[in-house]
Amino acid sequence: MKNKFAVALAGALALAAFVPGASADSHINNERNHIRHVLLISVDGLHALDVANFVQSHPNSALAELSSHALTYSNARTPSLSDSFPGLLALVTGGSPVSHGLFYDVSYDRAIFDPTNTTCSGSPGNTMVFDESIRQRQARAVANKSGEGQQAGPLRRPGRGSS
Amino acid sequence: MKVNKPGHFADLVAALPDAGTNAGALAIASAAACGSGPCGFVQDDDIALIWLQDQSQSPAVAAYLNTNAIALFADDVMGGTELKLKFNDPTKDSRTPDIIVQPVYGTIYTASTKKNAEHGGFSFGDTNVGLIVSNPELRAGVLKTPVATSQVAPTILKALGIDPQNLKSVRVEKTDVLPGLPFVREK
Repeated sequence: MKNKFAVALAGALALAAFVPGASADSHINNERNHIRHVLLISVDGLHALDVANFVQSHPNSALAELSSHALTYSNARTPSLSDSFPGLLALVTGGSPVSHGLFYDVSYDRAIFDPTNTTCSGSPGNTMVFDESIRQRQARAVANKSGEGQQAGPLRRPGRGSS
Repeated sequence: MKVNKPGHFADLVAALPDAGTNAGALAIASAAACGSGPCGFVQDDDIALIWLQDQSQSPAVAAYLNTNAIALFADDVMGGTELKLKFNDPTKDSRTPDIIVQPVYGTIYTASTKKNAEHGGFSFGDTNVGLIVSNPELRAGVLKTPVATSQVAPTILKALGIDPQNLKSVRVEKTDVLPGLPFVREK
């Protein structure tokens, strides 16, 4: 039984390990279910040059070990904005803001209403927080109702960015 | 590469001599001052994204930023037709910014004293990320062919025997699998 597997590592984001399942054939092929597991390792801010330099200077490192049986794409680019949030989305959605619509962790949408505007009166449009900081922002806003930010909506609707 | 941290983008705009009178400058100031509701937003980092309250101001804003490109450390001001080469039309897509500013390489629009590096924009240093696909049966190799990190998702699915077309982004953007991998090769 072979324990084959694959890893992908992409920089300002990722490393993927492809872990095939058992196979009577020692050659990698594209048969269905040949690969059973994939480990995607995303390293925020990791450049192609960082990988090349590190593998060269740390030949006994885990990264060098993975590279010794890997295809390295030295001319890979993020498809669009390279910040952590759209960067990770590129890896897992297969697209850019053109299709997933997310430009930044704290962004804006002309079609939504401020969560405090519960009757959706007036024109739509509001800042929109997509990442986990929305909880902190809402907690702050709840604790300090007159402060910057917004009160927590029942559905954790978009909050106010402060960065 | 020396990092240049001139401050937040909207603050740089506000410091320009005619910022108090120019319509484009006033539109940026209004968006930057927006707390909540339909009044726009300015997000910055080593990129600046501008959503305007009045989208008809977009050409005036782009012209103003281009005129002041040196003072704003702006390398490229994307708006109008140029922006639509890469993104959806901001007058039709509710999330696409009206203007995107790519700063001169090394510039971070921040007031942070701690930040010494950043990624977020379109520069080569920002976008040329590491990408390796490892498998015990692969021989070590380097492929210099341009690829996008968005190709990782359909590659993973294909390797697992799942149709990449299940992903909406793959369908919309026709994202292909990564080249050169025996276990994802098309028949």
